[in-house]
Amino acid sequence: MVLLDVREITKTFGGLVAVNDMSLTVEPGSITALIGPNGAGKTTLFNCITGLLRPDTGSVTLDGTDLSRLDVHERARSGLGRTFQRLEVFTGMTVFENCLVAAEAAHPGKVFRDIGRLRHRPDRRVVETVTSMLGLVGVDHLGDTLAGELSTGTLRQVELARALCTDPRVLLLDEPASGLDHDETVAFEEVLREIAGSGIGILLVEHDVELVLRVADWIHVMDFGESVMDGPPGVVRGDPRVQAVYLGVDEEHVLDDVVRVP
Amino acid sequence: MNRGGLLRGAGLAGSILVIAFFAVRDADGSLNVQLLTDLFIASIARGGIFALAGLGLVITYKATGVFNFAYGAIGALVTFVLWQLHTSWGWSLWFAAPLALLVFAPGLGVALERVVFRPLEQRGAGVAEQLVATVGIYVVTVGVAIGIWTAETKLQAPRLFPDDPVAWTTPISSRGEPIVLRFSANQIGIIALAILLSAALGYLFTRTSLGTRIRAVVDRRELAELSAIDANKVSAFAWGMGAGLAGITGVLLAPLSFGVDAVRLPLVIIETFAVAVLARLTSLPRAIGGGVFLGFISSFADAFSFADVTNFLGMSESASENIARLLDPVIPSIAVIVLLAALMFSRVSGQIGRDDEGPGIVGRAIVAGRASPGLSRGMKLTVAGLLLALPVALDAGSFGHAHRMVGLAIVLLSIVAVTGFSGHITLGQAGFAGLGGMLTARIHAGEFFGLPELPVIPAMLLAALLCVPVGFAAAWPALRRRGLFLGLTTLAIGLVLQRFVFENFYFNSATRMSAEKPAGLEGDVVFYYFGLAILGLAIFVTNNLRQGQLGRILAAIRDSETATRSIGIGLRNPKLFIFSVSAFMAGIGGSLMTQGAEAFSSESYVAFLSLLWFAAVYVAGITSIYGALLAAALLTVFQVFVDVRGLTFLIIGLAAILLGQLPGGIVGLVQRIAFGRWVPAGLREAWQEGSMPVEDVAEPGTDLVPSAFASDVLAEAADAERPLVPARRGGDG
Amino acid sequence: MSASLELRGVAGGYAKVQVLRDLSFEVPGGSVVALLGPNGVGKTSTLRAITGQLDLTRGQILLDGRRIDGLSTSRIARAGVVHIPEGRGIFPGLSVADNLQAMARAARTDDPDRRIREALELFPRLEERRTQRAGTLSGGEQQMLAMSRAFLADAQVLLLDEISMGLAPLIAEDLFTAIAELKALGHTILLVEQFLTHALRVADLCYVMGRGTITFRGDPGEVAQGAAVAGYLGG
Repeated sequence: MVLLDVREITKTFGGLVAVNDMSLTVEPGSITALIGPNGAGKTTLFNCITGLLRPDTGSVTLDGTDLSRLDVHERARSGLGRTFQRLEVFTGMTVFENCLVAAEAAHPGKVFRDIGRLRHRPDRRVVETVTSMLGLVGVDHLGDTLAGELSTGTLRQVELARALCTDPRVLLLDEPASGLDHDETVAFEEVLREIAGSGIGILLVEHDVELVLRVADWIHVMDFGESVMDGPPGVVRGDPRVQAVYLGVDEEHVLDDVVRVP
Repeated sequence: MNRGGLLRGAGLAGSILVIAFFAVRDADGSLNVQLLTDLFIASIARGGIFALAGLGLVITYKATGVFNFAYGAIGALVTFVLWQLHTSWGWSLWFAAPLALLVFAPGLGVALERVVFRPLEQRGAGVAEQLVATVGIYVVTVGVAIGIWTAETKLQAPRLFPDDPVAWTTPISSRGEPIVLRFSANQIGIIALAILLSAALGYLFTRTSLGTRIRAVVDRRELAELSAIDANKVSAFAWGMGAGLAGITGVLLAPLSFGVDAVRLPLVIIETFAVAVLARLTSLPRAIGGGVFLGFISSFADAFSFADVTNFLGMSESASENIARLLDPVIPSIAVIVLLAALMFSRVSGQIGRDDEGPGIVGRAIVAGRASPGLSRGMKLTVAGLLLALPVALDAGSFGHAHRMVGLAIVLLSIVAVTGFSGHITLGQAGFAGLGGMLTARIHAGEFFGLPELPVIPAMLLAALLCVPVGFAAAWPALRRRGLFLGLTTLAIGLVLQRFVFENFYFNSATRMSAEKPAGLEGDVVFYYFGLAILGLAIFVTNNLRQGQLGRILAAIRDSETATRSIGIGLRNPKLFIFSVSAFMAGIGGSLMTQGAEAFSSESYVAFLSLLWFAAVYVAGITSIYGALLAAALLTVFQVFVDVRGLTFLIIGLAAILLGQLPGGIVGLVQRIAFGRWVPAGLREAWQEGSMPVEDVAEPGTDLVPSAFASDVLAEAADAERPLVPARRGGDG
Repeated sequence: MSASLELRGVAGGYAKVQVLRDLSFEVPGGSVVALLGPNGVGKTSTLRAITGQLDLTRGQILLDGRRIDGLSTSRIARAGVVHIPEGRGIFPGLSVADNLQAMARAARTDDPDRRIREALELFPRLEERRTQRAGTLSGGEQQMLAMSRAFLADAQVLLLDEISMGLAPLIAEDLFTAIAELKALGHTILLVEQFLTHALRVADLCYVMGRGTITFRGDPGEVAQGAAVAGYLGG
């Protein structure tokens, strides 16, 4: 059963083809990874899926619903959660509030009536959701800390918790392990598995290839905007095309191209 | 050029042609070729000035990385200096002009770089903070100009080139008379200067090594230093050059403005921002093209009247007259219309757009303010007590000021709501306030589009409601932009309101319209408490914009619009909501101000005041309700006790430049000192100059971050290569 | 081209937060030294201290025996300290050619154009993109452009901050080969790295930092053995 169905996405900027005819699927409870060198078009593809960019062609379907005409926030409401390569936390709010505003987004209610209200107590169920997500990710002890005071690694976790609070069906994670040191990466893998275990489909862009090989169920390899190949980790690792492009077996030839030894 | 560009070009050319078509036709409908020729020549000359003005602003931006809001004010100041040297003291132009333009102006620029922008740079100030600094400089410069040359003087503008007419009779004839090409040596001089400077500047930037270095410093200053470029020297040169260009622009434009005075002249120059915006702020060729466009459209518009159109359409005399009376006053302000249109429809590249994401000027204020708890109950009660007890300390003559202060406080609260709480820069609140005041007076007097006379309070409510659609006009561009460009847009809206509505005889039969207080509330003390009650309500509403789900949504929008959308919150409704509320509040506040003054006078709501009020709130603490109250008190006290008007501007402007760099303004400062609270490690910028009392910074392990990982967190925060809060321009790779 | 660098008892930080405490180590002339440690430990701050971007509260920094602490950044750069910062040390708004022009400023030769030509020969991909805006280059190309400053500037000491961060392993390989090249030319290099494996390939000497000071010193082999126990290092 396919949860997220991305078909034949093409996106050009002026003369540059950033993404060319990319397709992939994400199943519930699975971890799909997207790897490839810098400039391969991975973040652009993400932006097309979440609606920050309009692709030239192609479609995005979430559990049968066509997302192509929907705006970013509407796609998010449909169940598409996301983290960012360059952090986009709410620096003026505490960690707890960062997640609270996300959890509340699912119940917009009569928000603008707040302007006349005397008391502003957040809904108890919402608070429970936030608390449990913060605990899952492992930042519950920082709940009252202002996000602007925390380090990059911690904030990546906060972004993850915040995305989880929107009750997503599919999570798009853009380089979530970037900048994490060894211990943090190990902890992160565990969290990923737990999230997938709860039935959420994960689409992951990462540079840490070892991490991806350990944790993904299915891997797509991109280069120059196109799919090079895709398959389970064992197959991907052994595929000569992938090795040539990304894992670097053919060292000598590539070196000649890049640095000519005088 | 792509299709979009062609369409735009066609649109621009088309608008000129339409206006020209009506402008050069005589009453009998025939084409007046002589007039066409005259206008054509005037267009080119004017186009030269506007091109130069826009070029100067674009180059200043490219060379310093700062959009110099005070460009017009600097130009005005240099013009005054030249006037003083040449017209007043009689020095020869050959001596006075180089002194003013090549010594004073660049010197001023270098001083500004040293005193204002270098420290800002060292603190890692973002684009929005630089904007506020330039607003502060604007205000200070006007203050200085008024102080030295007084606000009322209409000076004869000094001219750089003699006005000798030159006439050349052509062999072509029309209507039995030969066509004469009439122009003045002044116009030739301007065109020549414009061409020369454009060429020189273009060459400097793209082909010389100095130009490369300037661009490198703007792009990434630290890296330039690492590459052994002395960024400080380069910046000083760039600012000197920018101020010099501003000076030339001011001197050239002064003869064209309504009257040379310290408040109006800078704003005339602001209209040339239109050119810079058309040029997308970075393109030199487009600046020239935009300047020429503006030259053409403003020159032909001078000969244009809407009556020409109505006559052409065959409408009756009286209808023509009415329409002309209504719409013609907009013609001299056509540059503002162009600016507004350019802002609404422009696509702006790169740098400026970047400040529209992220927390900007209020980000650090928030981080600082949140580190300490809200002012305790005691403080709140004290402030409330002071406000309630104020009438006791006032004599009969001072109540007018107190009434005005209360109304002003409500207007300033609207600024806190929009800028402090949701991060959108608004520089047009004086327009909404004036609109509220004017409409209240007119509706109450039964002079509003056939409505019957209404009592004051319903009139006030209706007037504030009518401000809301105008607020939408500001909200719409806010959907896409919220930093500098939104600031410019709101300023332009304020300008349009000032020139087109407040000063338009169609709307105001006299320059001063009398206004009444509500029936039964005319007593000084009673009216004061009436105003205070409304202020209390306004505080309650504003406070609610910070609480609860609504407050969080606004704060999220302030901090990251992208993330806000990604968690499922649409931007449109909250933005429209906040601008509506703010326009309504400003309308109420303005209405109270007008009632308190018992008259509506357009002078009290000029566009410049928006800048002054914004700067005052920023100084007092733009993220805090107390900031609005304090700013209102400060402004009123200055007006009462500091009788020299220029001095008010000077003090507020200076404060904006210097004090404003403290996160949270005065209120934030008080919070920190009074409560001796911990300052987050990431705020090193605030403390670097050492002028602040140094407080104990918590060592790792204090209770603020109650965890075993506290030391990690602190060390990481300090070690972060890219601190999160300041939005550095130039980006990282 | 092969000056020595020494830090003695350096302490400093931001605001009142001490990031560096009693930091002392040497980088002998002509050697490649790696500075290792997990996130947040002060590695980048160390480099910033050397280039004058971080104020010291104590201690000295010596370039070939002469003190450079307290000097302005551009003067230190002119003295031959070339710092290639984390996050691509390039000017994104300038073209590749203009980037090289701006960077060549620090070169102490009479013929910057010749040096630019030499640098382009080393990185032919950049030659193809001479007029392209540097911000539109791929990550690897940007890093190559950043590295060319090392060749342009006739560096006495090279400071490289996590140059392979965020790049595909293949490109990282290329960059470290370029470093080996620079080493062969005799440059003094101080390398900041999070991942041990990269540093192992080129370093003569490794220091491990912890909480603002040096906690371990040794050659790569010794460090690799200690790694599993210390748990400091990833990769």
